[in-house]
Amino acid sequence: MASLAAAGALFGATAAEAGPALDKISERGKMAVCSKVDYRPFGYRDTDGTPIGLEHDLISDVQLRLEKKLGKEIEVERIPVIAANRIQFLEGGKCDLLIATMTDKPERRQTVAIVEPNYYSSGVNVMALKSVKIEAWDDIKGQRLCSSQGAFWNKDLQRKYNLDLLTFAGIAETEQALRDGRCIGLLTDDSLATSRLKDDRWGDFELKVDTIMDASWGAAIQKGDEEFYALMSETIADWHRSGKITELENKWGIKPTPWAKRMHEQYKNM
Amino acid sequence: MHNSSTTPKLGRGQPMPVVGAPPKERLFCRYTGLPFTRITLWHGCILLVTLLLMASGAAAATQTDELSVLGTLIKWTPLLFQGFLLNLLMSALAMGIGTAIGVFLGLAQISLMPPVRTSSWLLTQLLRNSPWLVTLFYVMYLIPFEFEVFGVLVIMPDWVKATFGLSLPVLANVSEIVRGGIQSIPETQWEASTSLAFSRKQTLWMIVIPQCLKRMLPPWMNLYAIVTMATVLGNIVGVSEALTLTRDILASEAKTDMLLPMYGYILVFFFLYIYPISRLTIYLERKWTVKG
Repeated sequence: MASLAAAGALFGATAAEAGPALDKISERGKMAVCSKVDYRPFGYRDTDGTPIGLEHDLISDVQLRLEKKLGKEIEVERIPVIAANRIQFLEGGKCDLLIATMTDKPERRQTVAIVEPNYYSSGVNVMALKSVKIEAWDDIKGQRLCSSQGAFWNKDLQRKYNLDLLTFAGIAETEQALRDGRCIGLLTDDSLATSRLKDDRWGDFELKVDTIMDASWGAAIQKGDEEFYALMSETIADWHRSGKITELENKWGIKPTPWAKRMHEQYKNM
Repeated sequence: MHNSSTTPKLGRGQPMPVVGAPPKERLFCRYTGLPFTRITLWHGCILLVTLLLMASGAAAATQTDELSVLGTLIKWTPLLFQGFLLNLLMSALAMGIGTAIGVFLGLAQISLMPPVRTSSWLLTQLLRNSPWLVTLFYVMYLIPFEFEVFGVLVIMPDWVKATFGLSLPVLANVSEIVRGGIQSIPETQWEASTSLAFSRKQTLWMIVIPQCLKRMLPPWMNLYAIVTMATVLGNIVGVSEALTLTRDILASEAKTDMLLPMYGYILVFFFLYIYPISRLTIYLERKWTVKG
């Protein structure tokens, strides 16, 4: 074990120094992107395993822009991440770019560079059976609710409403728990929930309250890379300018968010 | 020099006494009061049928024009099988690496040099008694994902790192199998060979090891079955193996009624692979049990 640790330290010391991302991407002809494959419709797997979804379309757009800028074809490696490891992967240089449903939080900005402007936004809502009586946020006080592990709202809401929170690793498990009646409602991402509720299977369910804690999703890169940051910043501004986000929302069956519309209004004349 | 020549030979076809196995006439466990059952192929079939019934039941319940549960399982089978192959590859590699190193560690445990003996014993105990997931995490975070060796960039995929991580507990267990196997050979064998002027090295390689190979094989195969099942731990460290893909598929389907059939399906994959290994192990154990 000691020799193992020593070997690890040795390798660690000689690990490739991550330089400016664009040089690295150009040199290798490959860009590594941390992305989600477990968050339909933002990122999930097609039957043959290929990652698809709204965010993967955005990643393909970044690829096109990079190819234009670097004047050569580049390959994109999509590295599947989960909430628990995405920041660590980016920080360690395993991926050059992260587009993985990540909420823009001040504490995350301390470790990685979150690109401005944000590209998407969502808030938290309660999904429950139509027959369940929840009319305002205060109605969930002391109740048993389901949620996903690692969701950013868990801690705050649990404290605020004294919730008996039941959390699960996967979205499928969380939704099954709601259907099984293990909790009276599900704390969920509103954009995800609206796309679910379009399905007949969820006909008995609805969103109960006004969405709160609206938070933006940010793409992230490693700290201190001005050139790549500028490129990504321009790319995302362009997505808002051209209305690409709203267009993709339609493509993937997501109810258009007011936030995306507002960003389009704000950027289209800039 | 063979062991069987020194012990009374049992007749062919006569069942070998198995230590710890219940006598035939006792049908209920003394402690739990439950009947003794052995997992047979029937259990696998029952599992499969249950799964199918569950699938058709769920399909009838939803009554949508979409794919039935069975259809959904079939649709995802190629991808799932790909992931399962990675599990098998990881298990075989971890077993190979673990065995190659573990054999030497086991031999070091019976060394006559106290420092060698003690340090190999310590290493074996350390790796054998820590949870597999803990060693896995250590390796995942210790080895960088890429490093340069003499100017060549080596990229270390996650599954390779996970395989290294799994081979650590394997090598410790192999070490114990080897040590136990060698020590199970009666002392008289060593004494007899010494009297015939064999050196210690010759005794070990020419007399003791050939005899205990048979004894070591069943526990070694048992270990392999366990390693295969343990490869799903790769799910926790982000390797795209069968269980990870199962979760991805569940997320892609966004149908909660797929939850049980999907996990049941992956269970059948593992059962069908491991069951024959387990039967073969039992067969070999019976066949090669040596009295004394």
